Amino acid sequence: MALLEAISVSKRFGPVDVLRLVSLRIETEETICLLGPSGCGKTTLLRTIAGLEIPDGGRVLWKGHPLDQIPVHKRGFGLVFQDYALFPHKDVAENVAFGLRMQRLPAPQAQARVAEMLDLVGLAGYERRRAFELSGGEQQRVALARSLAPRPRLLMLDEPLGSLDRALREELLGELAAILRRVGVASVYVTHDQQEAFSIASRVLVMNHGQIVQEGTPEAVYRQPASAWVARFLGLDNLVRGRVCGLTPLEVETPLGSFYPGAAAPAAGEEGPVAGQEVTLLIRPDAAQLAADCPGAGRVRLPAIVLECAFRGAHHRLLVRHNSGQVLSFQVPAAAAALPRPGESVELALAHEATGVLPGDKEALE
Amino acid sequence: MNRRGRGRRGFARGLVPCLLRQRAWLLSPVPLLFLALFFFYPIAEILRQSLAGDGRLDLAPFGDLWSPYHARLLAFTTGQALLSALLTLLAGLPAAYVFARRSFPGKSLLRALTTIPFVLPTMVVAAAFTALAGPRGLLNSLLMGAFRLESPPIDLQHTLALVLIAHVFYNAGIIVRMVGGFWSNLDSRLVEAGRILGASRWRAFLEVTLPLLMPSILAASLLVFLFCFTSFGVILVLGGPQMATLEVEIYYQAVSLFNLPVAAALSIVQMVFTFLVMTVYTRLQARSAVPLGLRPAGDAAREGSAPAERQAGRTWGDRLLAGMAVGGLLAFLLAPLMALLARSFSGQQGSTLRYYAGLFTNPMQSAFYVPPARAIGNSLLVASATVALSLLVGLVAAYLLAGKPGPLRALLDPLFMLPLGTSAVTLGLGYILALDHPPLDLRASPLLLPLAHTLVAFPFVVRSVLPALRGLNPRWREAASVLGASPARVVREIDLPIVGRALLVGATYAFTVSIGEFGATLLLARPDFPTMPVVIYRLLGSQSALSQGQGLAMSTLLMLVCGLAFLLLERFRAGGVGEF
Repeated sequence: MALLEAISVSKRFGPVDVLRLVSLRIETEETICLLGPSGCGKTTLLRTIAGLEIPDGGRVLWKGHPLDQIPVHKRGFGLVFQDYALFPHKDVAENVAFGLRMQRLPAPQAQARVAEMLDLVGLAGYERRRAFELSGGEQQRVALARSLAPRPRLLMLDEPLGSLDRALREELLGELAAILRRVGVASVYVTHDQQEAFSIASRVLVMNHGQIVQEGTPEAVYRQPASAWVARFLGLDNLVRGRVCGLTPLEVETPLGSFYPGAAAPAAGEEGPVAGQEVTLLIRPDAAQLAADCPGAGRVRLPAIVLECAFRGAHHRLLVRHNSGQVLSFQVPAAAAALPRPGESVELALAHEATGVLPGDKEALE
Repeated sequence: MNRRGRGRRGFARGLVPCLLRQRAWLLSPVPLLFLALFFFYPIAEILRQSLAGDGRLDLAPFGDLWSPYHARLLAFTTGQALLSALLTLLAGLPAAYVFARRSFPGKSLLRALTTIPFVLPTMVVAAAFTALAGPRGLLNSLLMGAFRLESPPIDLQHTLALVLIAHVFYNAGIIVRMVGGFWSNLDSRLVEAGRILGASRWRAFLEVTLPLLMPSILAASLLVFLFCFTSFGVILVLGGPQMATLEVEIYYQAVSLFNLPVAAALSIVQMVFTFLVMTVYTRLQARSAVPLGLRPAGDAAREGSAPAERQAGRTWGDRLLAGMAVGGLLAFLLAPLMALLARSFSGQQGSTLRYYAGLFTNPMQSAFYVPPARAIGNSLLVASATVALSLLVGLVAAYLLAGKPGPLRALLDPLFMLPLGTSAVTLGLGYILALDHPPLDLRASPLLLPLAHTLVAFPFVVRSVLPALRGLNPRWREAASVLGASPARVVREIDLPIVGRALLVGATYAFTVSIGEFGATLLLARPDFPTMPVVIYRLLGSQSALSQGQGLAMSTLLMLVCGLAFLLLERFRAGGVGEF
């Protein structure tokens, strides 16, 4: 039986359908991630699970028991808010102890638990500090300690690193993942940042317009986006219209040439491609090398005009236009022999295995 | 511009640019000199005459205060103020909650209505409650008509109950504004965080909301306490002759008994007391201003953080209670005003314009030297002069405060607020004592009233203009200059549109303060130059039905003028101008 199950949850705010028949399951003590752009409904879904919003339709179950009639404070969940929402009138220890006091835990035990939690998040000795005296990162840790202290059955994190700067985010992300692993609590992590999602979650649920549009392990989602929209959201911009013209091996014919993406096994319940079917070919940004660097065969040769070539540290970003008018962007190793300048013609070699097939999603290609 | 051709208008037009250019320090002595001459000098004169009338320090007047009578006086003054503050809190808090946390159609209009009493002169309020609950009041005549009673069933005249009700009427809006304003900015996720951590709704209110609101609740209550502590007009008219606060006693001692040393000693006692309360108040204010757990209201509408009113579990019963909290308060606030309007038109035989017409006559037996209507002109004249004076003083003061923070500004800020904490009667007394002999003899000067009113009014101008001045980004001016605007053009295009609205708000406040000022005016106005509140006081104090009716008519006129000012304020305050 699933720990948590949401079944066909829907929610309207005025004229806007924020959640449209969303279903999700959490089976074990895993960390799942709701990934989507702002406004996609991921936070509302989180708040609905927490009981802060009452869904207009559908239901939320905990181990098979409906939660409808259980008010927020009796659900035994934890939530880390985006801006932490630390109580400004209480110090760090009082913040962390709040949930324990609500459980009427005797003071000595509560004190021990507070110390244990502050130790866990690396803030031992901060007990008497006030929330507003802490840095953003420290506040974030206190918020985490406060949520974990009452031993929640489910921990929810709403963009917990959203208001931190980049370097701190990287650092805390690793710590957060380690803490979640150590505590072993089922958690739902909400973010719009794919790096965060990929590095913390065992399962990613991509959301758009109030629906879950794809679900899978981070690797699976990145390797095989379910639609052109997901591909774009993940930063995979090279999408080319094509047609299936062979099945063994899978061959896709595009204005750029014919590709052999290597048949991805069709997901359960889905049908594989059919000959003649309109599809979208995804070409990963790392698919290309300059033909001069890669004389061997077995690649698609692509003549193009260079539009832009920008140094990005480990690689160059190369923006080219194929003769068909298609604009593509690639990451070329920084050590490449002779980098072309804008306006020059160049020949690229594309690896077949760095391509994938998506359903022919016409709208997204326009 | 032809510089020689600059007339008075030219001066007024030149003032704002001069202030907004960095040359304001030229004008900086203006507010300080004003305060020194018309605030500190009269207060010092009170001290001197009460304690050292003949050149030696003499504490005898204070000895006179050491009596059971004065102990009772102080106890009553404090007790009624405490009771008033408590009742006001009870009346205002539910509505403050509803306005802060719920959304419903017409909310901003209704919330604005709760602040109407702010701009109403005490005499209008006193008249309104006389019209509603007095022996000839609306309630009594309705009840007598309905149950065929011989005598009025409600007898609240000259009771503490009526005084308390009037105080609640006056101050409930303060609770709604101050506590409600703080409440609506409180991050709703703090309560949510408490709920998720296991606190029930009630527990979350006690543990999270209430402690966070407490500074604002205390500050608002203290302000209400202070206002009621120095209550004058309400006590004088509604409380009757046997009821006295310190303020009223000062007036009696000064005017009826002409015992100036005792009046001065009482003033000092009151000043010390109000100063202590003010100190506590500013402390609390500063604490409630710390932006803990607050966020801008617009921010609350962001994705994911649904406004509180969308929260789970609102039932119809719940909504009914919310409606009653707001509806009840508004009915309470509007009923006396409606009664005033109705009574001013109703005589023994149905509706009449008799009272209004009577304002323009001056029968021989009248106690007044002029027809009552003359007071309207007087009031408008005084108010106009006050507006001009307080804009001048207030604008310069605000500019001084808007500069770089420093020790000087930290000193000036409370200094400019000081007159607000001083009682009007004390002020009037100080003027009588100080300004009737050289070096500064203003006894017969038409400026005496405007000067006194300006002292009370200019802090409002400061508080209105200051945020706008502080909000002026110097980059905007620079941008305008770079884009080709001349200095004069910069003022017209940037400074005035931004500060102008705040100036208008300040001017309107000054106007309403002046036109309704009663305490100081009663002491200072010459008998042949009464203002509207003074005339209302005299008319209401008369036993004849005709005079009382005229008092109601005059009050209605004053109420309408202030209502107009209120509309103006609401219109211009919409953009969040002012620090109130």
